[in-house]
Amino acid sequence: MNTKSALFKEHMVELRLFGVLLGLMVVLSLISDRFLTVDNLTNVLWSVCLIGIMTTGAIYAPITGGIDLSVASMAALAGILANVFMNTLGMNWIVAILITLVIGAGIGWLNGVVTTKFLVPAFIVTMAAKTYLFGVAMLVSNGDQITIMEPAPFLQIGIGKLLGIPIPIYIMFTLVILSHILLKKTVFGRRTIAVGANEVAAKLTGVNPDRTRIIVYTISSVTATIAGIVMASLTQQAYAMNATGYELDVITAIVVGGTSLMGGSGSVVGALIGAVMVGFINNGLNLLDMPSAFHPIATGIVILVALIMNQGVSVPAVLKRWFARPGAAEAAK
Amino acid sequence: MAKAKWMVAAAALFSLACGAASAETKIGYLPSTVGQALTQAWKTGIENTLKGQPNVSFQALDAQMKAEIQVTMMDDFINQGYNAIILQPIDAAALTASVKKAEGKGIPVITLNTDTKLPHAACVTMDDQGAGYLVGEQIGKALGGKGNVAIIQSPPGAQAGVEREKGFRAAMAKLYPEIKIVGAQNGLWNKDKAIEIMNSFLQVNKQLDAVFAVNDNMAEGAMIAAEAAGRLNQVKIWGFNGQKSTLTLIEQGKITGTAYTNAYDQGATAAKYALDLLSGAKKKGDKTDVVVVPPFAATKDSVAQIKPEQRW
Amino acid sequence: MSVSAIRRLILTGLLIAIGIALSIANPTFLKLDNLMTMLQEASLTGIVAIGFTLILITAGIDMSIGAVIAITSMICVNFISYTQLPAYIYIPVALAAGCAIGWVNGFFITHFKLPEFIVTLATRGILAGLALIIAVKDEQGFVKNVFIEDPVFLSFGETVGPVYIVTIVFILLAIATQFFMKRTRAGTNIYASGANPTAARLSGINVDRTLIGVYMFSGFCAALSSIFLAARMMTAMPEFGIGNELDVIASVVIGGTPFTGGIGDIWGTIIGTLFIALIKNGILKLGLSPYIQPIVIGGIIIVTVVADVWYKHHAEKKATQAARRKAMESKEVGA
Repeated sequence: MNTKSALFKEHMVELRLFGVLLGLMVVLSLISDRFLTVDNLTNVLWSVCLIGIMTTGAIYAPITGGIDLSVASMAALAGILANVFMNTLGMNWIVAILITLVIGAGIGWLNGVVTTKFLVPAFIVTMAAKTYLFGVAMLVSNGDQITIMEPAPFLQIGIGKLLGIPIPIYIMFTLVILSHILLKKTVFGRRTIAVGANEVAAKLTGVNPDRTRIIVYTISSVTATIAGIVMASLTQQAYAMNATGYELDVITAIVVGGTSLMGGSGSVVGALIGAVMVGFINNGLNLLDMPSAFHPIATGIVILVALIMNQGVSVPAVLKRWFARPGAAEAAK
Repeated sequence: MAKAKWMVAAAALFSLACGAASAETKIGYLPSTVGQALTQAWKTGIENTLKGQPNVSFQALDAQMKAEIQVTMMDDFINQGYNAIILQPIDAAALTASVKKAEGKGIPVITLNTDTKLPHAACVTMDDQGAGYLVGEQIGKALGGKGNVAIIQSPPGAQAGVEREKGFRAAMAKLYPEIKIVGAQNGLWNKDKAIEIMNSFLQVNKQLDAVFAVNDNMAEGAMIAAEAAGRLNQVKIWGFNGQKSTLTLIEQGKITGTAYTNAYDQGATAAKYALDLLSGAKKKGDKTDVVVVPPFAATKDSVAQIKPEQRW
Repeated sequence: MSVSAIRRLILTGLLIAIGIALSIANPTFLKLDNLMTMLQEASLTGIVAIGFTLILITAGIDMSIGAVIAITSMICVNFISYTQLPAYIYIPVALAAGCAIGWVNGFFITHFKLPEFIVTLATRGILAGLALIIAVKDEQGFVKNVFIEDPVFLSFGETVGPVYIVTIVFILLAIATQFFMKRTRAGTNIYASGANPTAARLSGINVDRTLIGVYMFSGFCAALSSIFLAARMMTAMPEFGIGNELDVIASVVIGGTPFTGGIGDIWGTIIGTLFIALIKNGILKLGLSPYIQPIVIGGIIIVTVVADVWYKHHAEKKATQAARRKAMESKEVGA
């Protein structure tokens, strides 16, 4: 078999998406001459960072046919916890981050256990987690918007720059590469896809779907925790209401990136492209000075278009069917 | 025998009356959210005033920035028989019905900063429009009458923010007509939203000379965005409220100025007004009694005049 | 007694027990004013929950209900601000808008075969943005949260005797919907479409049309609730309803309608709605931090689902054991 065409086929989703992205960039640069500047593009990447980081871990849940709605609350809580450890309890900032990561992993592990061992659908578990993590975040922080002014090295994570590029962008790309390798090149990655595609068959080949899922939700929470720490650093604030609604942006990126919520396939690079696409669209709207109310409208339309394209149902066929339905002819008379 | 019974009954009635008279006075405090320096400072001012009073209990609730929740909590105060409520309405229209309900049951409501549409006991407010005008004057003067200015707004129904912006725009229109207002977006009173909006302003406008954020949280967010973009020294940032962290940033030269109000005093004034109404020292009028707390323009030169114990 | 009846009994018992405990801890709980206000809050959520119940029965989901509330109330204030048309004209328009949005959701889900969760998430975003765009603005372009003074509209927020009108409407709608579900063909179709869509289709049910109808009803319920909400608050904000989805979902799930579809009824939803309202009111009455509310509700949802799943698992095991025993007995007899 020609390896070149096999490689091409394997990455068709990502290539198609990249093509759409390029097309979008062309359109936007025609609309505004400020679009294609290094400054602007870096800025868009920076604004997409938090979602991007969360997506690298959150993508595994839909691949197994589940979903993780708790990532945003987890991120907010992570920021608050990191601040408590560093500034209230006076720990070293690296230790504080490590402990926060462990807690994040623990919560993800708990989500995984409840959905596998207690058979509660992932949707419900993570939605409940979203709310009680928010409650815990409010309790711990007393609802306060806490300004984080120190320690200085911690703040560098969010606002520091290496070679002119903000550090969060490096973190995001590193995680994208790691996640891509994990999904496509490791046994674990193949197991996740197998569990999502056909759980019965996967079990027969010796995969333990429960264990796979528990790891999946742990990973999802860990990346959410990382995003939360980065967010606390760059906004210099720990606040329970930070990151509100981010989980919807994460799901948008994942879906636009070609991953089906039914499970069995997924693309990390695709999700990143999806996130960047939404970022570009919002950026374009800003450059056109449109009110921010248009952002969720654009995102919603993009989701629907992406879904329809992914589903492969042809629009003309659907419309034809709709007008040809029994009773339509009489109704038209 | 009958006489003894009569005496016991009288004694019982007397102690009942005493009990009723010494029943606790409950005062409720319901800001838009407890998580901000401003609302915390109000709380401290209120608590300090109520501390010395015998038999007064105080309860603070958090409306979490949602009008529906604030209405529910007002209902709770009313149903639990609170004697007075100090309220910072999240939205002028949405809380009008609740304030009307409370006043209808004889519970005076004192609002902070944002007022509601129907008359009630009192409103203790910063001079939003006047101070907004003041900030406009300051920015216009510093820019020499020319330049690009952007505004980071409050949520639409938050009357306080709207008034501040109105005052600002009035100053610009009247005194500095050559200054262009290049953008205005709602920052939801929040720091991270303000960062997003400031980034947007910076991207869209190659030349941005000043930004007025109608509260300090948002001003600090704007500062972070400007610093990250390396344009902090080109943009003069003004906030509003005068919270401690912002005053420090003004001293460091990162934020240009803010309209400071002594929020401790403001809270204390509201609490004292409530106590006066309950004790009869003050009487309710037909219209809302508006008590204005004057602002102070805090810049690098003047900020030293604000003493540490006045910083919140 | 059937499982669902036992379940409802347990829930009602819990309701009463918690109510008693609360009145002992804080006597102001029993004040008529408080009970009526609590019922008012419950009804606002409950009306939406009725529509949501039908959606869950079809094994679907509707994440756009909050945004429907936002936009229908925006439609109303636009009429109030810009026209002199009376309430009995624009309220039906708002309700029709809710139905139309539901139709769009249903159409995308059935004809394009898109997953319900994401479709309704997308429409939610679009509607939330639209709500801000059509919000009434003043001369300078600031969003004006219009203070509603139309007495006809405001009458929706009032009471008949001590009971709020919204509570009466909630109960009537609940009874009507329950009757519809259990006694009409269309209702049976809904259960069938949820339990086994393929079998339903094979037996001649137009599953697509049924589903679209269910989503339209959900949109209608959300729109209806928003009228009462706006009347109570005497205004409409583009943020209304967004973020209240959890209370609705909790009310329906706790009431015994599972996400898997095919079963469930409105009685359960009524009890679930009252339960959630009780918890929220109770937390305030006990002086507990309101921050624990999401923790409590989240915890209750998980416990409820775990209990339901465990019970189903247990019942299935018992059924297989009984069947196996029967098979062995008949074998012996036949031998």
